[in-house]
Amino acid sequence: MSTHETADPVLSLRGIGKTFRRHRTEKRVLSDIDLDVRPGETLALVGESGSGKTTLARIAVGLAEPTEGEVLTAGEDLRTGRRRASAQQARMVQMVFQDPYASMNPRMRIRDVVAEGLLTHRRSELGLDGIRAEVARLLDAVDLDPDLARRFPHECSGGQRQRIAIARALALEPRLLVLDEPTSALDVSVQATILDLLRQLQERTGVAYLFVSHDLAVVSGIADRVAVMADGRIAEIGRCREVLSAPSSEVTRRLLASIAHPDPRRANPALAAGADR
Amino acid sequence: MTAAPLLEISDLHITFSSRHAEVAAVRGIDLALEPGRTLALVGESGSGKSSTALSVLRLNPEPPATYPHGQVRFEGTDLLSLPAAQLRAVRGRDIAMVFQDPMATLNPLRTVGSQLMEVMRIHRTGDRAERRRRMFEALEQARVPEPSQRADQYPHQLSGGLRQRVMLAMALMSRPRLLIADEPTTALDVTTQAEILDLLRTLQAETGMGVLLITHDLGVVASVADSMAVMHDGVIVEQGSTLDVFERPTDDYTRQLLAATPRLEIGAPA
Repeated sequence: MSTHETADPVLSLRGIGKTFRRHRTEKRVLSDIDLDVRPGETLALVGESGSGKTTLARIAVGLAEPTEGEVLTAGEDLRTGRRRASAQQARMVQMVFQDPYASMNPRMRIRDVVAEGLLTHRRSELGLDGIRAEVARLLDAVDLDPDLARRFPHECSGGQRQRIAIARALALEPRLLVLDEPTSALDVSVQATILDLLRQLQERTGVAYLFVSHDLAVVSGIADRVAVMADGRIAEIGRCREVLSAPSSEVTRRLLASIAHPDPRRANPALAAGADR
Repeated sequence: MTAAPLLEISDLHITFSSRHAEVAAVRGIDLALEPGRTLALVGESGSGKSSTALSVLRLNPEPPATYPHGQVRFEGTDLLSLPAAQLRAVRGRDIAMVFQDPMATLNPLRTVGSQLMEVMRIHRTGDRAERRRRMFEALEQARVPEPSQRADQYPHQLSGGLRQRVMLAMALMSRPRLLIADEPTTALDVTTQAEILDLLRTLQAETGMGVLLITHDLGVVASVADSMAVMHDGVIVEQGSTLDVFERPTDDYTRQLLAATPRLEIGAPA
């Protein structure tokens, strides 16, 4: 934990602003965002829908361009020398999406899904045999049977698909994974195994996570730090434990108060009172 | 409590058959729900919970669905053996349903108000003025702010939370005695979910309707259900009062589900 705080950030967002323009109307979705993600840490980005957290995640990974501000990966501004920079960013920062059904080409076999980034970025370095071996290693790293490589996405379960998406994202050995609600489309028991896998992978590889979620219970189990967003700004940021135990912003208090605790005595006091009477 | 059950499911089997395969999705389940109570049917994908919920109104497409055994009795009448015309009289009037995704259930081309009044038009209840009055009443019951403006709006003009309130208002139109809610808050964010769960509790207290809640989320169960049944692989592995099942689970699968559910851990991580 202490190493996170001294090392250079793997991603720095400086003065990020974003305005969507359409039909002569403007909608400002992000303002004055400054954020650092440090090597090996998990920074959670939480907020209600419409708070701007997904747009910020897309900017972090290069899928959207900010209207203002800089995105620096390992200290380099991505907007200078764009083509080389975006190739470099792809190797530094990768993304895992919420819906593992929608984020894979249904006509590609799993081995090709996982190999795609390797073929683009490391073909000359690894060679085709090397890439084949790398795909097998990646599937093993996310605890998947290597036989799955020959299958198509529709032949895999939701949990398997999310593991494949993680393997694909790790293929280029990025220093940061942006995870957009990676478990919210999954069953609870599957969600728990994916969160476990993410923890193990981080321990093994030192990859940092920017973890977008609206679920504070999930966040409390995985994040080192948490940034709470509201109306396109960061309302509060700090150590996870401190933000959740002593929130300083209205939105954090509201999010905490809204949690449906899996504990009837806490979530439904009337029921508990009735039972005790 | 000695009230007669509002809904009583006994030895229900649901099979989906195609030319190539037969899948026994629900294999002999028993459930009972009393008026004014909330029963949660909990399970993960593929457990059979949604097929069970849909079977109450015979909404599983037939074919491929068949009901080889069992009964679904609503106030004593077996809905599975009811002729289509009589079943239509029950649907939306005595038993209403809300679904997970309001955007997929609301008609994008019609105003909120006209969709609310549809159920009364279909069941031929009231005249135009009566339907309008009831529409505003239902929107108010569902705590939709500014009902007279909302009635003239289209679904895309509403937020996710408001759309789910509109769905609830629509379900309330004919003062149903049973509400089936299939993952009513899954598509919503945490704060909106809390508001909708609160509204469900309030509506139930006001109307005395029974609620059959389908969900995979044990936090939602803990918030609103009096009793719960855990489904796994087409059978009910455990049922009882919500408090008992949470505090003294007897089945391994229930224990696993409880253990897998994320909880707010303010002490962690180290």
